[in-house]
Amino acid sequence: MAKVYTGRDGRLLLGSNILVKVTSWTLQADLETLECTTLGDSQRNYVPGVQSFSGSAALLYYVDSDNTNDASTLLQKLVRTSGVTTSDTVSLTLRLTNGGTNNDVTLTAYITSASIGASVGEVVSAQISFQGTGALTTANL
Amino acid sequence: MSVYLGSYGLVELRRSSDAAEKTSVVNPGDVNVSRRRFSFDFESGFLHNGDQIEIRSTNGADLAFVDTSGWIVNALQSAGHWYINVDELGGIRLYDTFDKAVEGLQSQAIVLTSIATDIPISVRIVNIIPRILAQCTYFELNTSREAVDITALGDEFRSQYSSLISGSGNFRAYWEYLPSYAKQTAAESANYLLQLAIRTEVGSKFGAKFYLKVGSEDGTKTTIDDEIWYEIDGIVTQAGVNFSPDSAVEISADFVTTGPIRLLAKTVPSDKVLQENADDIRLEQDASASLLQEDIV
Repeated sequence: MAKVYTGRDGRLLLGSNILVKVTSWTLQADLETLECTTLGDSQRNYVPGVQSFSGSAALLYYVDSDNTNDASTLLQKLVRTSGVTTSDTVSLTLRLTNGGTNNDVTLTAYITSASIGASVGEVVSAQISFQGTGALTTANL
Repeated sequence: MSVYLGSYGLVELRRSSDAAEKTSVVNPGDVNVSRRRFSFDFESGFLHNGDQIEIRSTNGADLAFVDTSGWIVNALQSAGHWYINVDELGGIRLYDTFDKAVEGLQSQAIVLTSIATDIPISVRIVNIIPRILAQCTYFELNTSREAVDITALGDEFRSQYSSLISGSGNFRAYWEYLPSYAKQTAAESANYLLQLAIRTEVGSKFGAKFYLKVGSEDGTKTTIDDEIWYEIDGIVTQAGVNFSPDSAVEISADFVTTGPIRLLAKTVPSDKVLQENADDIRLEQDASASLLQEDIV
């Protein structure tokens, strides 16, 4: 059945929990290419190098009825008094759902930037960027 | 079910100002006793006819240029409130009422006395009394609330969160520069709105009540005496006057609100209020009385 995906189908999970009030996410996948062109070649040649994954997300700074604040949870990975250690990774799943079928990308990542601000007439939202570390855990987009 | 006509509404204006205190000096030569006029240095547009101002001496001395008859206590003080009339040369006459100040007659002005030394003063615009806008023919007040989109991923319907409230509107009135229409107090002339729009130093701020319904004047207290009105502070953003030989001269002014917008009501209770204290109260009620008693639970 034909299906066009929209923001209605998007989800962002932290671990196994669906984060609420996420307004957007993006995923960037990159591959370094190593040139192996040699004398006599007429075209450049490359071999694959290292992959990397990064992305960003925007969340409303929102306290749910059960007193959880998903934006705060992510912000505290970077906005903190102690230094960031290797244990401060998060497992993020970027999901496009179609009924019972989920198209997921799961990665372990560091929160590399976080910003939050308040302005007159607007709701408070937080923007985070993340950098994946290691291989993707799930990749079935 | 009732249909109300515009004849039940009116606009009440309260002069306002963004200006801070102005300090100056009244010199002996500034006081013209015979013409009941004095002056001090102030920029054009700082004061208007009908403004209520507070004059205070900054060194604590009495304001000796105002005759004792110009004080409520019949004795000199270091500070006082008066209504003013400003002539085209910047001369100021003091008055005890708004309508006298707008009319500007020398004979009704507060008597002045010559002084021998300089008196340093500070002047502040007070303007606390609201007045009906004379010959107002139309007013419009719009309120709007901004909505912020908080729709999140996965939502099937847009979610909105209520944000800031703002207001705007306009009114029209037949132009005049002297108050000729009086109901409760002396009326504010429509010319003041034209002055408001071009005030540079003190801004174009005003306070207003827009009455949707005013009480009746027949003296009986029933629900027809209920009053309902919007109360706002506004800034005149545009004012204009149309002038043609075949129609009455009419001014129009647009405004935006600043600060809260309140919809208030003053209702007349349908029943009498019974005094509630520790005294014994003897109740007497005939068949036509409407005395209500609260059940004790």
